[in-house]
Amino acid sequence: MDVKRWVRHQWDRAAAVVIACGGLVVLGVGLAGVNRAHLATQQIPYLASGGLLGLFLLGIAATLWLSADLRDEWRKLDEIHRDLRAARDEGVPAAGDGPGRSVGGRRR
Amino acid sequence: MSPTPTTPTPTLSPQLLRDRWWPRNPIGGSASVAPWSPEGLARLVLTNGAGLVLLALGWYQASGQVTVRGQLTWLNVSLAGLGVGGIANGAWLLRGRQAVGMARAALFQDRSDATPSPHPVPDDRPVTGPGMTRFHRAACPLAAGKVVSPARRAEHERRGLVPCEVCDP
Repeated sequence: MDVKRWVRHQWDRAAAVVIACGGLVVLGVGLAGVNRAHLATQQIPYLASGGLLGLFLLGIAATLWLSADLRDEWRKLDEIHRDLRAARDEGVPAAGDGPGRSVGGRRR
Repeated sequence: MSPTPTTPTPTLSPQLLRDRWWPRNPIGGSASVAPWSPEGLARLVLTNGAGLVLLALGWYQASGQVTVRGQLTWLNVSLAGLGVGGIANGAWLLRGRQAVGMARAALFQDRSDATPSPHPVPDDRPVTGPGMTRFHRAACPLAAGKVVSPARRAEHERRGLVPCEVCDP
């Protein structure tokens, strides 16, 4: 698989993968920091930074990925609609041609 | 008289929805390929930025506190930032899903308009024929095999015809 081409065409999914990896790394760093600290006052900043920031990044990654799915679906619907419209427009008669053929046998 | 070209009825289509949801396309033409508007995108970025600022603020302030109680207060600020980002992302996805759903429904409507129904709508108007004094249901055995034509009931009655006592149209 051509990775560069995939990244160019699927930039949102590629960004989602990168951000999700970053979120997991941040979560891991926060977990390691919490494990190293012995006092609650030392652990909470790691929770605020590593834990919550990691979750934040994972949320953005999920949003990007799902947005890409929605965008793909939108594009597909748009293509189908254009095809339908083109097929329908073929049936519209030119001026002076008299009654014309229309797609599906129905005049629009 | 030459027939005028028919203009397609404006239906709710992905194109129309896109024009509506992407009214000021900065790129122009058919470059808008997403169900979201630039305003929605700006709102998403700004809200996520605000969430990120709250996260960083909570982290920074919590790091400077010496008591757990003080840290938990700022941890709540960070949690609020996470919530703000989550709500913005959820709203973004719901809006996109709604737009796609509307486009899908519009497409099916468009397709059903363009495709003739495989099951023609039955004509349930009463029928009668030349020389007949009654009008019947189309399926009435007394009208079977005769050359009949449908018309509205009021029309039959205006012509002095009476309803068939067998099929009671």
